[in-house]
Amino acid sequence: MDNKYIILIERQADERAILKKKLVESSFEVVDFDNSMSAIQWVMENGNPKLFILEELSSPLDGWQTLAYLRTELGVKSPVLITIETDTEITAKKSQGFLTKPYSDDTLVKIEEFLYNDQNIKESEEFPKLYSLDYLDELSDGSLEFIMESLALFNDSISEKLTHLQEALDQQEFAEIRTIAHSIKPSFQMLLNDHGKELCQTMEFATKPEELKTLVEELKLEYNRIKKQIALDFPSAHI
Amino acid sequence: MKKKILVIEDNPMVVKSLEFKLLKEGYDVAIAMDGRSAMQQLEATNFDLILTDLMLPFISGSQLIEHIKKNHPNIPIIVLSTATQEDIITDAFNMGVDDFITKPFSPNELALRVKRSIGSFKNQLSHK
Repeated sequence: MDNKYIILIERQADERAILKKKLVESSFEVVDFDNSMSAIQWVMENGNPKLFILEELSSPLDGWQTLAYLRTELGVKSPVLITIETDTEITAKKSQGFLTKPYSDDTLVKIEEFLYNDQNIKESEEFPKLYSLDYLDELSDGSLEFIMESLALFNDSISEKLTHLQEALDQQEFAEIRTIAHSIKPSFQMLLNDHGKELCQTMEFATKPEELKTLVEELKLEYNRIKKQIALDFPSAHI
Repeated sequence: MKKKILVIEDNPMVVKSLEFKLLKEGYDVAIAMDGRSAMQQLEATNFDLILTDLMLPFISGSQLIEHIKKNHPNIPIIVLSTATQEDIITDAFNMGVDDFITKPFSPNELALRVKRSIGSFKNQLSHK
């Protein structure tokens, strides 16, 4: 069941109000939420909207988790624009459409272009892969044994390091957090997971405890998503 | 005789990749997961090349390079860096490292740079 609405998820009330006003003035019909669970509930009751605008740092599910839930659990095919923080590497995630804050007249132009560009909508239906074995495959000339051992190492070593990361965060040991983030970043890169790499990279230079806390939580979620996908892809590998 | 390379790196996936590629290229490989272990191995074995990260447990990269340059000045050093460490890499070069490779490394680039650095070491010794 499809409908004509644009679903807007945005935590900040003022930003939400600005964008909603601009969209309504351009004759769009908007249903807005300050959290992702209410939006998911709305979709379950009312069907697929014309467009989702998901804030990357929404809660309780962040933008990526919300997108994954919509695609895999609800089978929703509607196009999605993600609102990212301005310093995030956009190019690394080019299979999705993106917006940045603060919302402005330019945002409206981007939304309209996105909605009326068939190519963008087609691309938005392709959910970015959580990981890829291309690098490990090239490195090892296709050695399955090496690839499986590397995946097992990823699971074990990152799990351990995330525990240390949480401990360092609890103790407010920022230098240790930076060291751990630096150490584990290549593991995400080797699986060609850009989101994990970016989280580690941001962590290396972040200084505010609240920001670090969010980054650590996001990295744990990303790791769990990758781990789950690896287990699904290689059920007999005991990874 | 096979050339001996000491890899100093604390990420197990990077270690495994380096070890796999270097063994395949015909080198002997020793691993140190931290600076202390690296120093112990340097005292016990003669290496032809050192590949090292700059952010290590226990001993910083600059301390380690300082130690190697003081006690083993002829061993070439390739730094394993990340793209965000320009300042640290510059400092490392000022301390006398020979080259750097960005993690995760390109397999072919690794092979070429290792071969080149070991070659320069051989040349250095033959001129003495």
